[in-house]
Amino acid sequence: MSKAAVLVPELLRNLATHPVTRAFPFEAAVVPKGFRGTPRFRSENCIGCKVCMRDCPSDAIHIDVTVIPPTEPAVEGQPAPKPKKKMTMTLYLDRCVHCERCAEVCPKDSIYLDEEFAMAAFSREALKIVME
Amino acid sequence: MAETIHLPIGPQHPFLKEPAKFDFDIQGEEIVGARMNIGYNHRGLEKLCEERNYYQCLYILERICGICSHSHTTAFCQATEKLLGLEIPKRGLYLRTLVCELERLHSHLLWLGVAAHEVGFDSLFMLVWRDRELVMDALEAISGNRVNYAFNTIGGVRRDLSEEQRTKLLEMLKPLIERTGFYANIGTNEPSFLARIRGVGKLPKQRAIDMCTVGPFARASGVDRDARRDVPHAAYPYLDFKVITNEECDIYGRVLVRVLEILESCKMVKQMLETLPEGEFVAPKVMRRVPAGAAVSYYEAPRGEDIHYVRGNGTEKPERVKVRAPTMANLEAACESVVGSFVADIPIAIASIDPCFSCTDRTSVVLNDRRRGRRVTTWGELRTYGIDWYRRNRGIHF
Amino acid sequence: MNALKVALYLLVFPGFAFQSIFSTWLEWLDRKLYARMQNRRGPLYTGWSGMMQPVADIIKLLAKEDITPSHADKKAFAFMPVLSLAAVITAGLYIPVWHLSSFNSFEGDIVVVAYLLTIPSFSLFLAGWFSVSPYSLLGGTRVLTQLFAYEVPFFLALLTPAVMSGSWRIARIAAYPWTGGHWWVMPVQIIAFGVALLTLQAKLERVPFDIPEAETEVVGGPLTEYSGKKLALFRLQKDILMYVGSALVACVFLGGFKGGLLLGTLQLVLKTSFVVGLLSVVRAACARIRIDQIVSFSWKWLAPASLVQLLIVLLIKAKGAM
Repeated sequence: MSKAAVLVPELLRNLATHPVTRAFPFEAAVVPKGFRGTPRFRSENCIGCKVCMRDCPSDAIHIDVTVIPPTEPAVEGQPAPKPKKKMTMTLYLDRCVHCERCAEVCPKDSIYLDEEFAMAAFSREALKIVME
Repeated sequence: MAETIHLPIGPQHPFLKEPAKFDFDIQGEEIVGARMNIGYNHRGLEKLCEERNYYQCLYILERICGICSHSHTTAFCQATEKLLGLEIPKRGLYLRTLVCELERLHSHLLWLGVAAHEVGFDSLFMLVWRDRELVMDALEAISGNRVNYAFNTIGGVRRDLSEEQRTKLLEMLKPLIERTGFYANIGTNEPSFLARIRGVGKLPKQRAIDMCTVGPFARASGVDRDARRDVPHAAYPYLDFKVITNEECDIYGRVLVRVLEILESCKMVKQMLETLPEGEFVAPKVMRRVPAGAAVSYYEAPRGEDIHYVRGNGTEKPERVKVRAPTMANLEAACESVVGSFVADIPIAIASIDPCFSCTDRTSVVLNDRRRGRRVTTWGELRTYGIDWYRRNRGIHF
Repeated sequence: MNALKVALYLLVFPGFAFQSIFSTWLEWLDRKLYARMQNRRGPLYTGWSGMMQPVADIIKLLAKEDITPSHADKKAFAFMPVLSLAAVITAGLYIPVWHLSSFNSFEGDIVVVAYLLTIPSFSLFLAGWFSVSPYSLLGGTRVLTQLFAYEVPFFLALLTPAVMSGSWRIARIAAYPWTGGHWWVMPVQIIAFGVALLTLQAKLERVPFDIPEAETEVVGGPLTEYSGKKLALFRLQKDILMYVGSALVACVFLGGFKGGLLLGTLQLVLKTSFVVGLLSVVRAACARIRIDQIVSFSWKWLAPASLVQLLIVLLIKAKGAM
């Protein structure tokens, strides 16, 4: 019968210690370095290969290539100025599973995952992020 | 003298973490018959895998289960690497096995808390889960997420372990081992807890073998089977560990096996961290097209033996992926172990196999057998029936 | 004027309003202690440190939809919460909260209180019986089996101080330790105090004796089919039963609440909170035991212990009489 109180000393000790639960969101939540958060885009590095689109498990990335016609007029005898390509990434955050496959497979290091985890929204449209 | 009442449990019930249907025939408080039905968590994952390339399949298979997600990716990677004939560098194997054992730690601690909750011992539940956070924080620091670690890739692992993370992990083990010793003491000495788990859910050794049970459920009935030792895979051939069995054959035995496995896994994690080899953590060149062939891989998940079958056909997408989760092998035995005991024993007896119905549900075949009261209804028929019912009984016109 | 005074006693203090409000304080104390023992925070945001959480729970339940099962006996189904609440509040009127005598105390009122406190258990069984569902039926039969287990030790433990003090009146039992230097009756009855605490825990259907309402087995036991206002009344009944039970135990074992209106009420708060604190420790330290184990534990340990205590008290009385 004395063993019936085997947990009681621990319980009474816990009354004197501070609770371990964090009062989120009134207290900040800490994430470690390397946490897989939201994908972000570095447009200047992107070459438009679309490997990230191919390998995303949930079809959450879409890369748009916009061709910008050259601003300078063609000059005689000089090679024609090349049109610039601008890459835009549309991320469907409601589909993203944060697996980091896009960042892993990108050959030019143009996608990276930040440490943002508070990404709730009230509508699906708000979760469609266009990054240029 | 007592009449038989039919007690349906599920698909929704507070003790079930995932939907499953149990039908019990009870007389008073005693159970005289038990039947079960699964399939409520079927998501068509095997079909999804046929439409995606091998790397995308990794992340689909990871989400079969939240608790043993790493088991499924490891088993799949092992099967695919067999097909590709890849040699994984030793550091990659060690890191993969490190996360495997950390996952076993968190899964067994989770189970201990849930088992305590099923018998109403909420204090033990909260305290165990508080200490489980040590393991969860470690996993988050290593892999970037608390569940669904996405640590495996075909050919090795995706991230390296820094020296700082290694020393932090070693430090984390000390309080964990001490607290597990404390919980082992509580679990084996607290009279009300023992009264609920001793002599309950008995499954004799021969029945355990006949019903093909696996994992800690079988090991508690004296069946000495463990895929870590019996089938060499990952870094287990290089590690020195014991397989825990005992002859109790009841839930108390299963608690003992899992708690001692926690201590054993802590020892293995320590071994791996201290003898971590240098070098690459992923194979250098992995072909995206997997040659034709079929491979089977075995892996000891926290719940038992997990089997993956992968068939490639020379393209980037697998032709067939089949997953046999350990709970599938244990469910019938769990149902049988409950017959003859009380209604109050149902939650803890079913929970003692550590059920994961998400892991289990693949395809189920239902026969359209009107004589035995089973019917298959098409979506169109169901919709018409629903509209008709609301019009007749509630006067609502859709 | 007398009628107004009686109405005040019945409805405000120590009647319905006081019991409802004070019992929410006791529920908050129980939840907070239980959480802190498990290293959690407990109720936190509603009111100061979560003190309004039990009130918020009851108000929320009052606002929810009230569903009656189609096969249930509607009138009986609706009457059960009212019956149990009425019985418990009436029992609470006999607790002497000041001047060591309640406004309607009489010789034998401890027996009346003990009888009134069995009505909630019966109404729980009937609630399970009238809501025709296998879970509630199972829970209801468990309530009765548990009643069979704890009722005798509960009565024996409560009546031991009555034998000690030579009176069946709660006020006089509470006053006995303070008269004639009889303070030693409090430590001598420690076994009965322990038995009374455990059987009170069984009456309140809390862990380790909460098998009738075991959430993981029978969903809600007898209260499975109750929702909305009826469930709110049952919850209020459970809280007030905790107040009445712990106040009764504090009265007969810890020497009552003497000292006039202010000091007496302060003693009431402190002593009932102490008893509820002990109940919270018991709740946190044990697992839920099965119904057959409750019956065997009760008849193997609690009933003999209370009989032993009764024997000790009778021997002391005999020695005193010689």
